[in-house]
Amino acid sequence: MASTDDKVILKSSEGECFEVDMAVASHLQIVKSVLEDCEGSSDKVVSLFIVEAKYVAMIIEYYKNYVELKEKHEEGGFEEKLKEFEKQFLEQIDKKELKGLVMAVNYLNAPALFDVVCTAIAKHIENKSVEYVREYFGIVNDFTAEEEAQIREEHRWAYDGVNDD
Amino acid sequence: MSVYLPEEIMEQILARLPPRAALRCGATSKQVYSLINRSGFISKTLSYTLLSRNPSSQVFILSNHRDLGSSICSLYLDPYTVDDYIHDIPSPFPTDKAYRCKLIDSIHGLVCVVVKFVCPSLDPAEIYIWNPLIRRYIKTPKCSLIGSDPRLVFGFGFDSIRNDYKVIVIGCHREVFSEFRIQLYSSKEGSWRDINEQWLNSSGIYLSKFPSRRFLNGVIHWLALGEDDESLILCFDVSRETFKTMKLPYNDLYRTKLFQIGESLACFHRHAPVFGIWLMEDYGVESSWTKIYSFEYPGFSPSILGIKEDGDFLMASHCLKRRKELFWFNTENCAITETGIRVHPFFLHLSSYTQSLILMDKESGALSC
Repeated sequence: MASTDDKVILKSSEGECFEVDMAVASHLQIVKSVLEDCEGSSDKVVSLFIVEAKYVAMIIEYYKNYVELKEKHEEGGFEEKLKEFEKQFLEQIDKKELKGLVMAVNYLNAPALFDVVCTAIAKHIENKSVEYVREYFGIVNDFTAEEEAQIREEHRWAYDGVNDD
Repeated sequence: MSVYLPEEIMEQILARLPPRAALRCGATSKQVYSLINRSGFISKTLSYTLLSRNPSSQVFILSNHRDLGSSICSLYLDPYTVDDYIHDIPSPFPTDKAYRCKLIDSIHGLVCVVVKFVCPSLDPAEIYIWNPLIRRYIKTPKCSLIGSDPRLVFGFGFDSIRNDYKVIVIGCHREVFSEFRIQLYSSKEGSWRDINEQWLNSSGIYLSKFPSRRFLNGVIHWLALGEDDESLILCFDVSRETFKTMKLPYNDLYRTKLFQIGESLACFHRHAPVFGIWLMEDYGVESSWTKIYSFEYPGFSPSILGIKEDGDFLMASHCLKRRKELFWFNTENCAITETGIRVHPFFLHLSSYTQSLILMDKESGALSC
């Protein structure tokens, strides 16, 4: 049983607290550097000012499994098991939430999950139309109709066979 | 209301898209358009593409024959499909009967082709570096060796230190010129320069016209003959611009073709009726050549375009019922499955290929075709 010394409390933007093992939290570079800055202090609460509770929960879930799988498959097979888990993990996340998650992960500076979420978003938009991609990212079209037509004409073949939903 | 992501995160997401999808996103806004046209973004996309795929899973084919006409296409091998975006596309060079096009090699989605006027060869050959996916190309300036030396050897490689694509031309007609004469084109410099290589001149190496070649691991490889007529691979380190040799696993140069399987250098030995495929398992270690396939084939001069994991070979051969198309050959039961892609095996040029956006940035100086 781990002592409370190995725990840290992460506080979401709404003030919700999550008690997490240090082994898990140390994957978040921001937590690591905050704790290093206040070394010696008994207060082990890290405020993640801009991260909503639902994203804190997702990030903790990911790294909890990451740490567990790594321990369990020390002899090999970790990457395969992690891939399996990642697939399942991503399935429960709404496509719109992926954007909020990537912002949160970027802020917490957690490279492994950042790569996973970026890849998932890329997969999602891979076969989507220009209009869908704009709407998904909230991109404002600042081309004039002529400019856009010209850009599309440049690589006309690239716009075939995409779906809008 | 959608959240707009900061540009550095957008860049990370878009760089993980296949090249065609990234290109499409460029039409969403001015900011995204300028992002995906930056050379830094283009290289980042390439590095993700290279990480996520088997380098020998796609081939580019250029076949140019007087009667059959020319065909340019690209195929995915496993599962086998034609790349729809590189099929009947405009090429920057002429492909009609009056010209002969030869593929030098392909790296990072760029295809290097030398194009020559067939009849009285007064019109010297031209060299193109072409990205067929995005329809952009660079035509190199005139190389003074072309037209002055009847036996030329070409190579195309990538200098990863300077991020520079280079073409090398070696004038090999030593009966006339006593020395090798070497010129190198750098896409960064945009011009040709001479290379003086004393080692090569004293090495006793003989290069035939248009030897089998492949760029891999920063090195251009050509099949060559050594001083004692032994079969060798001549290697040119594209960053250091130096030569050396490696041994082939056997001595039979003229029945050998170099190619690539996965990340490894491979050679195909056509000693009819038994054909063998060798792999250099540890690159640069001559003792690591291993025969990975040996099979009989009822014809004598097939070309191999690719191999599936189950041992199916994609081949071209003119000897089996005068076949003039690509087919899959199963080495276990000799079954043949035709693909419907017409090529002439003697005028077939191919190389491993991967899609990329290289040459899309303005600074590359590339033109559209």
